[in-house]
Amino acid sequence: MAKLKKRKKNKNKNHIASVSPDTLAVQGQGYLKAGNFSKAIETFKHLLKIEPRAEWQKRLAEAYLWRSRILSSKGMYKEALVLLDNLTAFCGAAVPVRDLTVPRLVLLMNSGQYEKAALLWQKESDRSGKTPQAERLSDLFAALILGGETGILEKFAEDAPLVQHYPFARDALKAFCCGQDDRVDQSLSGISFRSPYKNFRLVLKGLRVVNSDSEAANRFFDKIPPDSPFFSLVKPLIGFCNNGYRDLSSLLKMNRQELALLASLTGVEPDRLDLLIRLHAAADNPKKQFELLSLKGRQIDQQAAKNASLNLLPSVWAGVRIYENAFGPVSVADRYRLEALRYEQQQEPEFALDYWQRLVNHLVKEPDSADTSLSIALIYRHMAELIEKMGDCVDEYGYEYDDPHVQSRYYFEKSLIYDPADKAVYLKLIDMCRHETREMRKWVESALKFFPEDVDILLVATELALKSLAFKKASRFAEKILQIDPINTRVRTILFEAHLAHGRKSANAGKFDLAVKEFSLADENQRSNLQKGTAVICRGLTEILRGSDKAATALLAEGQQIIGSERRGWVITAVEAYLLKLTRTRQNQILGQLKKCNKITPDREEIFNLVAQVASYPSLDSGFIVELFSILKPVFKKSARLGFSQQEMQYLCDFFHKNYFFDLLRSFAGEALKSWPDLPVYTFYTLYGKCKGNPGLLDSREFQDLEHAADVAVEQHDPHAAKMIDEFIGFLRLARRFSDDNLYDDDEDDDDEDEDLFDVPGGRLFDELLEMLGDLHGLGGEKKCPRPHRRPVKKKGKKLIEEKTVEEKPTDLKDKFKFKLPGKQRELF
Amino acid sequence: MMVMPFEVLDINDSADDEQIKKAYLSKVRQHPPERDPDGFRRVRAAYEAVRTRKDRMAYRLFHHGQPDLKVLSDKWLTGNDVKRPAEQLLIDLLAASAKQTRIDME
Repeated sequence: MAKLKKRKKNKNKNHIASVSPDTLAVQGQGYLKAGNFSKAIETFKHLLKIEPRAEWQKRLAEAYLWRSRILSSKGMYKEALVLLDNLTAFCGAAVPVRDLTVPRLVLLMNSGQYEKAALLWQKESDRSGKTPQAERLSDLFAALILGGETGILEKFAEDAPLVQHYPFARDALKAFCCGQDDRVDQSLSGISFRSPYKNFRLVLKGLRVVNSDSEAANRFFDKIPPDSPFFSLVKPLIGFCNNGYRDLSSLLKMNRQELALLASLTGVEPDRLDLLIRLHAAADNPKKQFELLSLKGRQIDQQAAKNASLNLLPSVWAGVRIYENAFGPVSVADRYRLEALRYEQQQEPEFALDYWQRLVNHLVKEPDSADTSLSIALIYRHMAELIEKMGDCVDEYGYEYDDPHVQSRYYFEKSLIYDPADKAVYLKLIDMCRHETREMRKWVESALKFFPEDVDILLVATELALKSLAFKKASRFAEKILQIDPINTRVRTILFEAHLAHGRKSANAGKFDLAVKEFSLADENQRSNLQKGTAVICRGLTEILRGSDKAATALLAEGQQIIGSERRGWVITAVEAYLLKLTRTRQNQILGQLKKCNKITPDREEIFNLVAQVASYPSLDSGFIVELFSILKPVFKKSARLGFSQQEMQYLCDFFHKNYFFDLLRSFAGEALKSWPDLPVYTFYTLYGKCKGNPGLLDSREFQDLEHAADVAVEQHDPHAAKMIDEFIGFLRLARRFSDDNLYDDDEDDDDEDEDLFDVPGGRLFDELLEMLGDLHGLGGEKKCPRPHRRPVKKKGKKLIEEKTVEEKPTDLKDKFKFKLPGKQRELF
Repeated sequence: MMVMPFEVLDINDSADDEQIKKAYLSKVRQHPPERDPDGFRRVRAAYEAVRTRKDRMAYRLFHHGQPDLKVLSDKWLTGNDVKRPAEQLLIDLLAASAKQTRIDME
């Protein structure tokens, strides 16, 4: 390699020797322009050997200076200095010495040759003092001298400011460190504003107020030029001055000495500051934080470090030995607790539950105390919540474990044994038993014993009483709530409904006086016109039942006047007449009155309110709703473009979908789709309305649109729409999958196959599917193939789940693969 | 991040309801919501975490995680004994700053 380089160099020399000087000069100039200073130096040096022309000397000096700058910028100060020496030797006459003084001084200082620099500075002081770098150099000399490089001082003349002001600066430093602030001020007054030590003045003034007035300190520090060595000294403190210790990240770059300075100025222990900064730096590394707290923290604050380390153990379980060495043994109870939390963190709730149970078993053995009982209750509650969070526990084979709902209920119930006065658990259990009236009643009654004056408990008691048609009881509870919370609008509504329902019940039983009394009570507590009007209408209808038509007419007119909308008033009258079981003739008369209102043009609000009104009767028979809407249909048909909001439109479409009003659904959803084309629910509703709820009537393009809408719904996190679409097209998807698995002959034309699929939903293909699935599950055919069913088995010890093979019960295929067509596909309009 | 209620309220972990309330009110005076909303939020969260016996028990049983360094720094970095730095420390820092300073040639 070396030989190769030498050969190359010789070749270059030979090349230079063979070229004429003028050509070489042109080449050298080219190298200079191109920034190839090494080649330029070589070329001009060769030319100067031939003839010492002044122009070539100037070019060589230029090349040396540029090359020196480049080396300096790379941190090669000594090499740069050599080039400056060469420059002086080869072309001293071409460049005045004074022009080189400052670059030489800079290079000497940067390369650490301070005394040489000081000598040169002193020698050329008349020249160096006038350049822009002079101030920076004197600032640097001042910092060096104060930093202990006192040898430099001897190189300066006695009258140099660096020498003259030094004793003042030194004394101020000493006085500052001794806390003698008066002496500091006195000494600093000896340093003039043009002194090389002027930035040191600012440093000391700032340091004095860092802790007491950080803003003032920052004002002093801001005056120091950022390239000054004095600024480097205070730079780490600026972060503290801005944020105090609130933002530890601003202190991350501080070294030990800087931390020691800050700690001393703010009166904190450097070790504490250091530990906190390290903890902050390890924010993403719990293991590192744990080590710092266990090993270093305990020397600083035993209790806080112990608590923090213990709380980190679930994340750093391997550190349990370190913890025990530092803070003593972990108790058995804590061990179970931490293991449980560890498994929760690792998303392994089955193991977590096992450890919580172990902790309970351990606590049960301990002496009976209020704390122990409460702990057990809390653990059971936590276990129940953990199971709720787990949702469906499905193993890798897709089999479900025990019903999580049942399990969590079991743990909630257990928790009440140990802490029978836990309102939240009662409410939870009541909510879980909403569909089991007897169980719900049991928990409501228990809760009422402990919380007889609690609004939440009284509210569920009211709801339960209403559900059980115990209207008097419901009214009693509701009135009690209103005594405690008179502005509870929800209870007012419940009370209203209770009286209304009780009134209807009484009227149906022929107890008209009681009914009127209940309707009057319903009226009493209400502030809304709608509810007041409804109560009056009910009273009017009761008068009809009594045979008092005159009184009835007056009350009906009054009720409708209170409601304020004729059409809405007649809708309520019709619904209440139906619920009060008026004769068919009377009902037809009322519906006839409603029909007359069709001449009135509706507005957006009225349309929405009509639907909301009908939907507010949960027990209304669907047949009656159909009859009612057959009268209202002309009004609704021209209302789709009334400019409903997205929420209103969704509500209306949901109602039409629920009640199979396909035409209305199609026209309303179609309008909505124009306004909100990105919402998949309207694509679904439009197509659902179009095919009248039968996916078999969809063509393949529409089917694709629905599939796309389902994907979009998932992307938009709209589970309601996604579920509806998925259920609707689920059967056809299944059919497609089976057809892909060669359900038909390979020879069949694909297009024909698609047509078959879409044209005959639930036809031949469905029969074939059932037959095939029946074979698989041993239902229809002779081939029976029972599958092993894995059930989780709880077992003490770490191994929680074991496989246990049990014969699977034959699945009811009709339930499992039921084609969910709407119950009654009625074409209404 | 852990709430660290006992450290925030500066109370012993065996404190009762009354002591906790007292400590909370005292801390609220130090961190009023209008002047120090973050500090108040932290104090309030700490109080909520340990207000009743049941809360304290639940906190001890189920809380875990990384420590809140703001709480630790409030506790550990309260300057009581402000001292002037040692002379040699300042000299060393000045020497280090000066020796690291580089001046451009231009």
